Amino acid sequence: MPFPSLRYLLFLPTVFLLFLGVAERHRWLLLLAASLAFYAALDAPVLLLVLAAVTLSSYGFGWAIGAATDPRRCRRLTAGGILVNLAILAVMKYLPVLAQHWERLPGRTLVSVGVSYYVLQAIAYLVDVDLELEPPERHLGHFALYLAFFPKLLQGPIERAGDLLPQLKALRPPGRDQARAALFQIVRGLFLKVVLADRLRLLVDPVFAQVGAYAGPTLALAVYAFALQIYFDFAGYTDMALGAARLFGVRLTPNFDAPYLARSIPAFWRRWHISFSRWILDYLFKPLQFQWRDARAWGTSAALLVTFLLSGLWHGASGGFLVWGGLHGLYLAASVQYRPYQARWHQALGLGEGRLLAVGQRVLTFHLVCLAWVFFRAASLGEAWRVLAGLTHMTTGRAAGWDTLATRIREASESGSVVQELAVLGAGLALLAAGRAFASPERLRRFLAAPAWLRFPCYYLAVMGLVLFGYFSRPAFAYVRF
Amino acid sequence: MAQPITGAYLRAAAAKAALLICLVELTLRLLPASDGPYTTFDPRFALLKYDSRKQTDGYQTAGNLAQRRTRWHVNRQGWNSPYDYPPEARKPVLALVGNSYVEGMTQDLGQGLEGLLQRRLGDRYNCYSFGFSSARLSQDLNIARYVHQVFHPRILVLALFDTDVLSSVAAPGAPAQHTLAFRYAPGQVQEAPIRPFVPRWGIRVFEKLALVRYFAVNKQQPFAGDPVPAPDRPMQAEEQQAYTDILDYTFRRLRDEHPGTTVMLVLDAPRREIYAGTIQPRTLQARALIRAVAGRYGLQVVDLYGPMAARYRANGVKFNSDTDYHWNSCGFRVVADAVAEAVDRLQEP
Repeated sequence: MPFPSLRYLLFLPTVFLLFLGVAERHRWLLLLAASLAFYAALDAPVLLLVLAAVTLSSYGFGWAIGAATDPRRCRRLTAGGILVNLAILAVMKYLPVLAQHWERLPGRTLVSVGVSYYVLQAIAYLVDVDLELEPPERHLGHFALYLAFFPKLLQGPIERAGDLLPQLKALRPPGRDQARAALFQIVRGLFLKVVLADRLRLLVDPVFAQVGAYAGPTLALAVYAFALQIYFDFAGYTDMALGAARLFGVRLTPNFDAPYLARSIPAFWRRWHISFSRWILDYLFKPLQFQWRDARAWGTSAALLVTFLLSGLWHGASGGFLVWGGLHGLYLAASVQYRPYQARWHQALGLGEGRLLAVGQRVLTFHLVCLAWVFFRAASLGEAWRVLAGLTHMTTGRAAGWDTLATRIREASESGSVVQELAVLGAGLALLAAGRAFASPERLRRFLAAPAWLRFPCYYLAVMGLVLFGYFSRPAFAYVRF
Repeated sequence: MAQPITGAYLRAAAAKAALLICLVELTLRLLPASDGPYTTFDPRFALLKYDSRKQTDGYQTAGNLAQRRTRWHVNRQGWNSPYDYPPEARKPVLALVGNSYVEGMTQDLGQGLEGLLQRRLGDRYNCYSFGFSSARLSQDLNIARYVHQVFHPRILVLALFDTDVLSSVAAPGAPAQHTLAFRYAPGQVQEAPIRPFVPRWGIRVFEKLALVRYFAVNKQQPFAGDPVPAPDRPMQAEEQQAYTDILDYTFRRLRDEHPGTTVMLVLDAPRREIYAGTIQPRTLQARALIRAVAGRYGLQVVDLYGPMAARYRANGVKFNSDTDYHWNSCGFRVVADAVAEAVDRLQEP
């Protein structure tokens, strides 16, 4: 069930109240049952079978790896476990794509919601057990909950066994402050998703659906809007996931840390989809870099390129994702080559460590990321090229397409008013920026501990804002399809 | 040391949440959220309609800030209309039967199909509208029976949507519904029993909560009033057989149960396809079946595709509002014109 839905609005408090009432030794069982019910609500029974298959195979392989004494047997078992998981992932993710092109293949209607995320978790677990970083989990129920825990089931974060399993084994109800902070985080996530991300969609979708109708300025606006949309969409989901987990006393990995303020692409990847970038760093990049260590910086660059090409493929079997991953791989590979000369070049160009340099680096990084987003968002590689070619038509005779875009916004919006939609968007972004500038964690803690008469009007305004200006009928989170 | 969540704390939190919901409810009542009439069940005809003994006037609103507001009025016969329908009218009756499109609550009172058609036809007919939200083809048949027995119309106009045919079939094993549904086996259509609607207190309160009405109507999904969109694949043999059988049964009953009445089917146009400049094979298939079966029983078909496509090509104006697939004022004008022209062609009275 999607997070911003009436069903989830009833589901989450019900599970929370049951969690408070149930005996400590049964808490994991309650959360496992709730997680399976949550997954079953997607109305795709095959997904429960896939989850069961991944859970049982990874549990079995993990146990066998832990019991094996011969290192070569351990490696073989680990490879076997990884292959089983990758095979499941490939069938669920790529079979429907192949079946679209080849009618004899079954599985055109397969859905793979959540599979990519818990398969990566399972692979990380097997590798960690093999490297003796983690002991194999003996309790099947705890292990099943580690993979299926509903707040992170559909879109991550991709949790390590060492971080999550100990928390799931000692589940404790949150304190009052923690519960309030969790609710705040859920509301913030909802705001990011239904007020900002889905409103930005009004600007993005019509342009990418009909690229030829718009000239450079409109296309540029749509590309910037998409960069924000996908961030708010995913960060909104993550906030809701982290908030929900906190209600059960579980701390999940924050996935974002103001990524568009990064001053370089490596810094961007330390701030964007953090759990995923850590995963590919540890389980893809590092082994490759180790293999190619003799080639030094070139080996590192090659490892980065391959890692990010594979990360593009993980997002989907399309040329756009591959180019998106390839571009990020190239950026990172180039940064490895550039790094030894960076200080010298800055000195030669007279660029001191001032604010101007930081701003310039942020602007450049943001635009490099936006360039890659074009391939990520466009319907095909051809469409992506058309967007990029169109961006150069800034002042030619072609109409900018503002009228067309305004009409499309009017048609697709709840208000039927372009002015209202843009005003709400502007106010929302301003609120977010003000929150970032002024609301330190300490101030937030003080606010959440303030008397009810002070907090209540704020809660009322927040709820009314969400009710009046939120889009609750929009498609699911963008990242859920990966 | 974190303060634990106790029962007393939870009770206080629940009270605050309830207060917050009350404040939101109050705000939405002031906005105001869309309002609708009370539903009642007429046991004589096993028919759902509106309760004229309760609230008879109100506003339906649309948009997140209730920007578009239309007035409705439930007449003494239980239908949305500015005037009552005397059963023994001096002029012949033209009865409009259908779902929310015919009901016309998305237009101001008197600006829906009934009002526009009455103005177009002048003194020749009394136009009465018997639209009820979410009525499917099977329920249209039920409404038509009531109309025949009470008002003896000279012309019966039934608004038909090609996606509304298969939805008349009740799922196997499904409990009886408050409206007429069909049970279907290949070559065999039966009418399922109708379960009387007994309004319960809880349902009444729920229906009248502004919060519920706001989310259901004002924040409706784009095209929420649309019948289930037709899949783009053509109908397979079995589906086509079911479609034909249901049309055959319904149209035959309409002919047999309305002797001396001209039955006219107003077939809505595939508007999304008109805007997109394409037409799906399934749409063509469904419309061909409707025409063929209607022709078999001598029912007139007023196809809105031609007039709407021509008007859209001419001025690019759409026939539904931005976020609601119901006909807008332009759509209603096209429909009224098309029906009036068809009535003129009958050269009656």
